[in-house]
Amino acid sequence: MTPDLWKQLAASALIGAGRQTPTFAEDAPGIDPESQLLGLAAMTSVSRRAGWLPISPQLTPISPPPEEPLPVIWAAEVHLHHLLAGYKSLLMEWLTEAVRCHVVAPPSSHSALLELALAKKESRDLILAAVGAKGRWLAGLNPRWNELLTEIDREEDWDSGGLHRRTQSLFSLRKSDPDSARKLLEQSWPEEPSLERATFLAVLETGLSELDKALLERALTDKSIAVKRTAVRLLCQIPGSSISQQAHELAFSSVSLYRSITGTKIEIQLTSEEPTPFDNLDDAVPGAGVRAAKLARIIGCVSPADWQQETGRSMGELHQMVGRHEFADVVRRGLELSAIRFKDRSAAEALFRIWVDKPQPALPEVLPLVSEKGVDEARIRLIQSKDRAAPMLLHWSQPWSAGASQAFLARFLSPDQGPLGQIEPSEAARRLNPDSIPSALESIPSEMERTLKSWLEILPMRHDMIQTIRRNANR
Amino acid sequence: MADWTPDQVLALAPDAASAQAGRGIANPSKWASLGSDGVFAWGEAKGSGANPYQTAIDLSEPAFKCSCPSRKFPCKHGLGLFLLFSQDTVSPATRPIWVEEWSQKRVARSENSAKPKEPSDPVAQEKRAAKRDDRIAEGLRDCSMWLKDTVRQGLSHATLAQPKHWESFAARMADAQAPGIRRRLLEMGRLVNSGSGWAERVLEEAAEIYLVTEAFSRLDALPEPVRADVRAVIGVPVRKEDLQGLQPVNDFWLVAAQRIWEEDRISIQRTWLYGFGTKKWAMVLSIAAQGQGFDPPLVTGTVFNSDLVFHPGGWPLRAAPQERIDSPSALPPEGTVTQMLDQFSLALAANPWIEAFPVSIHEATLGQDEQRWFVVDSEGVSLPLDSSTPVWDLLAITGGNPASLLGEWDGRVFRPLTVMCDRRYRRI
Repeated sequence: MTPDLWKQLAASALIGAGRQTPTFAEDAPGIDPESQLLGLAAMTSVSRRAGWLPISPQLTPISPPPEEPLPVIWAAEVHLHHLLAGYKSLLMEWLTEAVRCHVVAPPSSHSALLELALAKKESRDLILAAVGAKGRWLAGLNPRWNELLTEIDREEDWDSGGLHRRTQSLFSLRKSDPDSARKLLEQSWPEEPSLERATFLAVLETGLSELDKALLERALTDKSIAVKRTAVRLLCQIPGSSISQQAHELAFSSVSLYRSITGTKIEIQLTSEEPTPFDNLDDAVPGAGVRAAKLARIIGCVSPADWQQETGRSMGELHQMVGRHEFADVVRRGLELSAIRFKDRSAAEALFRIWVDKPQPALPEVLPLVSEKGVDEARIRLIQSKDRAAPMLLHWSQPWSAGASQAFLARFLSPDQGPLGQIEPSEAARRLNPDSIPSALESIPSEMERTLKSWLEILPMRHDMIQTIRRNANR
Repeated sequence: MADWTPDQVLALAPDAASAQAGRGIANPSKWASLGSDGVFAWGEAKGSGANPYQTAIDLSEPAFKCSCPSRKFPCKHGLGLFLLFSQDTVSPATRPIWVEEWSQKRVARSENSAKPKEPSDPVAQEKRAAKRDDRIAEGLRDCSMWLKDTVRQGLSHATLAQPKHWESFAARMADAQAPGIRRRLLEMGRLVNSGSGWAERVLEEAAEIYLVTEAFSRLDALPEPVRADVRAVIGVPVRKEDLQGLQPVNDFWLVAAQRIWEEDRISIQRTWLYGFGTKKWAMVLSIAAQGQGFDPPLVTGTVFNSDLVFHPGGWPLRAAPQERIDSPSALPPEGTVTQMLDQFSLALAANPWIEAFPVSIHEATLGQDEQRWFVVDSEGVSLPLDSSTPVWDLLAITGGNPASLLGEWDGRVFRPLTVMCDRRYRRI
């Protein structure tokens, strides 16, 4: 039996024994060529399989994995596979808890987690921490996952990368050495196209200081509106800059307090139509005309701390004082922009407490600034109120505190659910504190079967999941 | 009694949803009562109705019973209870009456099935068999003609690329009571234009089927084991009576590897068992409706003591387990690629239609050339891996270190099904 015979049989079968009489057919006259072909192929095929000899390919050696310094949480393997298979919404909680407890995910989940990291860029750091040293070793072996580990080669990326890589490179340098990052940008500034100039300038927000003032002020005269806008936003955050001073003058001349017989009042005047650098800003001010929008943006260029110093009133008090003034919404929006732009936690928390009664579109921007501790009281108040703002609760992706969970259950399971009734039971189950299960199950009315089903499915799993990680992490 | 781990318990779940639901109910607070006497575990699961569901497990098999209305088997209550048992959260107790009643029924049923059955009318049986053989013979004659037509026209002919071409003739084989040939024809159809070397693969399949048609046309002239193999390839079912009188093989059998696939809305499980005393491999084929667990439940990495009756054939592999007793897990057999290839040659010489052959490779590592992945044994001999192998999962689990791999060899590629690493068996 020769390899040539098999090749000849295969070629003949492909073309068709009827089109070209195979040479082997001449050896057995009287038997049709098709029978000969199939018979010989049967014999050859079996002999090929039976006589298969191992080949000796040149294999690329696989580097050994590093030692894993953190304990692998084997006990949570089943949980993790179930989360990966069908409960991805709880996966982030699992990973966060594992990283917090300094344990790593079992290896059998690594490839699925690394695939997830490719899709969820925002969770990459968390996932790479959760898979540990061995998971990162695995990522290094698979070209598909290499990008997860790619360290930024600052110089090379800055010199020859695309916009994204160059921005990452500059950002990375800015975090470690703000001065060098600014100098690097200054060097290339004249040659950069407008999109690059605007994007790179925004990077200076990290580590922003008075030293950046010269470059930013130069950018105020740029021909690109986007560059000018970024420059204004950043300059107003540098105390003493010309833009900051101009913002203060315009804001405090438009919004001022005065004493009257009935107490302190607020006076609001729109700014003039004269052009200012703030005209380039584009923050949304719903329902406002051109001048009103301009005023809101200027108010947003003054920090909450300066508002308090100038007026002697806190952010919450100012909110209340504008009352039903004609431009009340304009001022409120300006104060929101101020809290967001200056990342002022106490201002954000004050706004949140006010928004408990009247949610605003800017809520998702403000929430990241709010500390869990700072809002728990307000959250409980929100739950206990009958306000339509209740579904705002879902803006927290983190699990709720025990107190907030208890308050939620007391309300949600009562006949007078109010707006909480709009909340999907499964959404609540993903946030409730799992320790609240016993009381939840005891008090759940029988007519809420769907709720019961959903909670029975999710809450015990979360409880088990968290307990398993914590128990095994402490071993 | 085997030490069951939670992942082994969950491997019994008929589907992912049941496993998930089982996990959800594996919480003592969901049960009005729980207990075990080492032979049975039982519990009363709180449901939405007034009365709790009574759930019990005969731990020796395991076998499940539950009073809930679920059509899944085992149901979530059975799985939940078993998970609790596997986590040592079920306390010792005296068996309640309802569990005792079930136990007695099981004993009675087992005694009943052990009794020899009334033989059916041998004349009628022979008539039926002859009629079926006539149908098969006619069908296989058509099949032989069809195969010849196919190679006469050429495998590159456009009609071969149409699934309908294969499906219609495969249906003819179903009518001819030759389901094994039907399945192979459909597989052949899927190979057309499936990538480099497809024509050779189609020719191999066509030739093997042609060999069956030729063998069946002169069945009477063949020795009995080959006749049995030909019938098995055609898909003629083996009745329990056919196995009576055959010498069983007793051993401690390791559930070494499993492959599960769907076909025509049924689930098929091929389980490879390895006998530690006899050093024999055996294959148990189980079929279940979708959503149902396989019976008997066989879980990778477990060992049980049983008599196995091998189906007749030139190289007997398929077997049916009889009564069994579970034992603790054990290490897999040691083997090398060369040893396996020697055995495979002998097996093919005895039965040329073997589609999958059991392999255990000790201290196996993975390696890659420019095109594909290989498994390399301790002697440095390698086998190409099936392209569907989840290589990255395997590398993650083994950490690139040598591990025991168990799986199937088809004469072309190796398909790993189980990896044993850190003294744990894992299905791949």
